[in-house]
Amino acid sequence: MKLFLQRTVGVVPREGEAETSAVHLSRFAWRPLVLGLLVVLGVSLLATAKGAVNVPPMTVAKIVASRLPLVDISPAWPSSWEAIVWDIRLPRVVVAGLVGMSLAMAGGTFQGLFRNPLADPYLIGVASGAGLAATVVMVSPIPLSLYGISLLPPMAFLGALMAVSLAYGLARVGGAVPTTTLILAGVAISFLASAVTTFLMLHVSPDVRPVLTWLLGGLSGSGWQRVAWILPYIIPCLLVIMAHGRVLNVLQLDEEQAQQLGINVERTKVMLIAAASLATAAAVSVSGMIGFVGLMAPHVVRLIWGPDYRFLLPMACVVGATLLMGSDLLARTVISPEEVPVGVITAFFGAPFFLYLLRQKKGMVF
Amino acid sequence: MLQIADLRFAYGDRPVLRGLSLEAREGEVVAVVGPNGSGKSTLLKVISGLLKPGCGEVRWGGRDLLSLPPRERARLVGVVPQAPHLPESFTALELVLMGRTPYLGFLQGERKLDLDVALRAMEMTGTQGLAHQPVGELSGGERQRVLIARALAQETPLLLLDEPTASLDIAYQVAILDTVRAIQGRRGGAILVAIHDLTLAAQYCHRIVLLKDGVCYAQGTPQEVLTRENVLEGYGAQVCILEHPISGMPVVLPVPGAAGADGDGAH
Repeated sequence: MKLFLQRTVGVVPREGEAETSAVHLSRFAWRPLVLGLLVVLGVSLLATAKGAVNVPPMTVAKIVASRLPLVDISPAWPSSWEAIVWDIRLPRVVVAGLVGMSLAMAGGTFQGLFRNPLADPYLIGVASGAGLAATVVMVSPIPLSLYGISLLPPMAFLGALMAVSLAYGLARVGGAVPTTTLILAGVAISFLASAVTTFLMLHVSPDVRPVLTWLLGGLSGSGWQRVAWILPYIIPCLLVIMAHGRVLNVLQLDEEQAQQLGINVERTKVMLIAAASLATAAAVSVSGMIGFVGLMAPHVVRLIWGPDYRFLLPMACVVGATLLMGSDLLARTVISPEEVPVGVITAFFGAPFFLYLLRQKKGMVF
Repeated sequence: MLQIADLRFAYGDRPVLRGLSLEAREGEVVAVVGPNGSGKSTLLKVISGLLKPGCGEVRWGGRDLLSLPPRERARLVGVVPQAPHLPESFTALELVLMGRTPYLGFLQGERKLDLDVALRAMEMTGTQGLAHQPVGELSGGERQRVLIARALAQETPLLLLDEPTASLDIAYQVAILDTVRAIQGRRGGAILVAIHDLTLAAQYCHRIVLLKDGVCYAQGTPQEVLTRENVLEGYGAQVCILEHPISGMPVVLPVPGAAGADGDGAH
């Protein structure tokens, strides 16, 4: 109750900025967000430092800083450390953070848009479309890479977008896309794509392991090239989605009420589905299917800080990024030199924590 | 003034509104009554822009409501829906603040002005004490009043209420309709109430519009519309009409055992 008052009062503009104020995050919301960003920085530093070779975190910070423009630090570390930190670990940590962010954001968007607490980023066919496209590339004579650049992410990306577009097109009735029809069409297309994927894997490909490894999800082999590949998609999508925070709050009513309150519901749905699907497709294209982050991160925020999407969306990004970077660190260190699939870690630690939260705040989940 | 002329609407090939015309003037509370399936809810959905009519006109003060974009329309028409889905963990005040949506820019947060309007709307509906309660913890009557507050926060000249007293006990029915009359005294504009209870409609509304088969069968003051003959023709129900000892308005009494050959009067 008290929190709410602060929340409300927090959006009240000061004198003189009455009309120009575009505060959509209240002052109350900044503290956990800033704290969360610090945690993200801490975890990424730790994740970059730890591994088969442990580099002191201070040295990691120095190596990273020395790469920044206008910073002049003379290297006082072995060049192998520099290669490990800059070329191998840091890009992987960054990809983990970006993927975690995207999945959390897309999951939160779909949960809000469909008013369905079980919605996750893969709900309307993104993952299975990507999986099918990746499998086709692997079993067909198409080369896996061109000029040294892997073709897998772009192809998976295209497959994901095709699956979502197909689901969206099939669910269209007149000018509107009923939510239930869209989910059903998405699920049906997912099953179809998975069936074809399985068939191709078992009957065409002599070796199913590369496909299977990719499908299971993981971040190994992430380099700066992958960061460059997904960043142009993820950043605009995240901005579009975050700008819709208040609109998503109103959409928590049913669509008729939202329309009566002046929201152009169909246009908003198109925008948000496109942005969330694009972000998910980008994430899936570099990391395969990583479960649980997209479902859980938004719920964790909702359970702890309440349902306001203006705060929920950015905070879910922070939680998702932290969760996936931490999980990936564990995934590659627990039974090193072997790697555990990162999805196993997210589920193993995420699920009990989530259940604990659920027990703490029964009845306030959605 | 709300002017509706020759409004037609069909769900597929099943016509629901068949050339309906009606008017509601500033300052009036108009009851829309009629048997199930006569088109009351459909009428409200057309006015609020959820359904596109086949033909006809809906105008407020000369502005064509049907061709307005949702945001513009939401500044003219506020709706209190019947049994809507509400997100349970939002507080009552947050819900009422959503009534300010048509006035807020895309990236804009609620301003002091919006908070003031919302709190005044809650005060007018007697819900200011519920401001920080989660919507999921409100009773049926409280939810209804909070929804009225949300529609008031929209500051629209035209207010539509869809069965505001359905599934409420008699104390809440009276409380809700007292609220409706009270707020009408404090704002201009018109209120259109779809309602089943003819006696309640007669006590609280300036005029009554009786729909039958998608057209306006009778309209006028409660005394003019609520006659034994009109109710028999409109609903196929035998009733007695008495005069309310205090308000002087008609009271519609059922006659036991007199269900006509027309059954419950649906068609």
